Amino acid sequence: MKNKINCLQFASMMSMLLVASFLGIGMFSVIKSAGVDSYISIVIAAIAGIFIMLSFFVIYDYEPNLNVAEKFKSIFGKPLGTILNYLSLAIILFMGISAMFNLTTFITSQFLKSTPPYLIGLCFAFLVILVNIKGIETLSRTCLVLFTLCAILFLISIIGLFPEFDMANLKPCLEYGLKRPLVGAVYNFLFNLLPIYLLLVIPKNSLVKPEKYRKYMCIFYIISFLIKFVLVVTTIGVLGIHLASIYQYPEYMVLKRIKIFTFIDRIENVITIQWLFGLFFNISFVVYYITHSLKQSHKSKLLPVIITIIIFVGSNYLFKNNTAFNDFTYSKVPYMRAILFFIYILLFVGILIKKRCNKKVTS
Amino acid sequence: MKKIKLLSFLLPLFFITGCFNYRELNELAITSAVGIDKTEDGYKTTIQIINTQKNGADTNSSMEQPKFVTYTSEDKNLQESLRRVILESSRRIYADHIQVLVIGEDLARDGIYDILDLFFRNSELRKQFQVVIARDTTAEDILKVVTPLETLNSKHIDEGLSVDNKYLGVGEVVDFEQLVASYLDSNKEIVLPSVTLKEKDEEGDNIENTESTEPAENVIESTMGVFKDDRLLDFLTEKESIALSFVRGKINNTVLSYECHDNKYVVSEIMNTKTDVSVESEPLKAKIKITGSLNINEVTCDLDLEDLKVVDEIESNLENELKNNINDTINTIRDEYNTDVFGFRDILYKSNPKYYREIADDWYDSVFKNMDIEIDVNFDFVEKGNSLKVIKR
Repeated sequence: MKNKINCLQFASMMSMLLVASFLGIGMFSVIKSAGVDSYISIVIAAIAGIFIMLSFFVIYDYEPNLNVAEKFKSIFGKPLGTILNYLSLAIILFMGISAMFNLTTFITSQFLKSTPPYLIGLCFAFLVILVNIKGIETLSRTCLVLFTLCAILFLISIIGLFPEFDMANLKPCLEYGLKRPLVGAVYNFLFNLLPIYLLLVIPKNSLVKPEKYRKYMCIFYIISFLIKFVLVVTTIGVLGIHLASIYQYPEYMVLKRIKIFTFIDRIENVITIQWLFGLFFNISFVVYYITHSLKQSHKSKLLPVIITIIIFVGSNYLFKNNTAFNDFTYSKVPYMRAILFFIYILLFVGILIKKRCNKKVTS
Repeated sequence: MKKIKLLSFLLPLFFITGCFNYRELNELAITSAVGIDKTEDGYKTTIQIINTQKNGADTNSSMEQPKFVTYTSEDKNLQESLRRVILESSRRIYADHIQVLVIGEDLARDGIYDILDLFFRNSELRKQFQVVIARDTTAEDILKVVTPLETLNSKHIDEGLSVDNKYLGVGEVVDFEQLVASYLDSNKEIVLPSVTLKEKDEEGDNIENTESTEPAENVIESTMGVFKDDRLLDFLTEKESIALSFVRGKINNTVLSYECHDNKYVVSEIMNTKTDVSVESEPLKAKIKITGSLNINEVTCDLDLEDLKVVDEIESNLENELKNNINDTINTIRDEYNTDVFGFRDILYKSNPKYYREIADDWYDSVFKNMDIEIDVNFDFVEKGNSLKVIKR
């Protein structure tokens, strides 16, 4: 059972990747582009995301003993496969840097104003290294525990916010037609659905009962969609679109309104830990992805350290401040993500073509 | 190798034993309320700080110290003005848990836009504190009064407004976040509750103020202030304030009466009220539907309360009383202030944005003033207390 994970852990990792990336820039970009129709964007993106799921299944089922880097080489040959792999790794590394920046900025801006961001980053970097050195088993178990905790905290927050919810805040619906929700859906698709592909780094034969993974993934995909949908609806329904679009972290600010049974209040900082768990897992998985795409030997301990240091240093020096980060992420990063999507689509198409050729040869 | 590993995990424990840059409670001046007044050159800020010293602890005196102290300072902008308080205080000002923000009337009439940003931008400050206007006085004077019953003046204002909102409805509770949301939404107008001073001749800024059965000075809740954009236009009367709260759906319980005979009244408590406002387009018409239950509290006329017809009549008289009150209030606000504090514009925008865009530019010029209003009040009689009949010989 060494280096084996079960399908539940695998699917929970997908959910964590999808939901955690929504904090900060995910919510910001959807609200900025779709406004009050943000929840429609989430629905459209989720429907479009079915294509990602289907392509994922095709890529994942191909050569079950290979990870994504090996599949690139297997489909496109060594030179082109390596180039595509490195290109995707560069973009994924940037995803990790963004997540680390998001994490440290969120903590320094909301809780630890006087603490230097690098100190916070350092604490998380140690954990990221540790969990990566321990391997996929530890990573997946950690993820399942964190996901369960996050789901409970999410439920508490929704129950606590229910009395504050005002349906009128979600109106008018589609005031300017479908254009704005579609733009929002594109952002949501690129920022919050694309990370599904990161799971390709785990070879299919690393799963216990791999035949069940599709079912679990579909269930957790729906759960992730519901979480994001409820989150957006609740945030806008409680704060109203004007406040939701002016706050840096509306999904955190809305938690300040939680009041359960008139005596449980001011629990936003406890509830917020779900975001911190999510972002921590995101960074950890990015490090895992890059490590295992670069080196096939699973015993490498130095590589995760180096990658984590790059992410840590990058998050400290790449962006001057949050405004620069938001601007860059909103205007430039979608193109980077689109390239990443294109690379995986190439792989998907490559596999389809190869399968068809193989069929012809055998027939 | 194992020892190195163990050491690398144990070593950080010595460095992470406490918070980075921590602030001890006894080094902070915990602020419970902030008041802002307009001056010629900028702002005068008054901050109310909780006095955490035990009585006579430092001075060996048995004299009772007030439970709070106030500091004032002036500067051209708010942040600098607030920071200058440090010159007077020996502790760092900690304003993250303020309960009340009091805005001076002069400042409110000049426009409150400039004071919103500082409080909104501060990430540590909770935005759920109440905002009130100091009516006919300054925020400084309001925050200096030592109030009876509550040891903290800010608590007195905070609790007082909540109780008023819960049982009378003259003042609506508006927290800072709601105020900013109303300001940001161009389809909404701001309303804020007010407090004022009820005073005798003496001054109430000393501890003796609480040693009398009738304090020399007290802070009392007053009526709602109505705004247009960010400027205070005026204050409503008590009746108008209650009517406004009814239309805005911010009232739960209140007392309503009508004159059944010369100087004789039927008084009733209205409970569990619900308001449903809709705006129909073409022809433009606002429909206000109010429902609730009523208890008869006081009857000084000779009425047969056992007769169902009489009870129905009381019901319909009270409904008409409220209907007329709301109608008068809407007309007064339309004619005198021309500000849509009822939120009709927002409701129309949300229900029919296309039609709204056609008439938006003329909203205050003609549409709001001339739109039809239909008011429907429906109270259900619940009980009449211990007495089945009116007390009479």
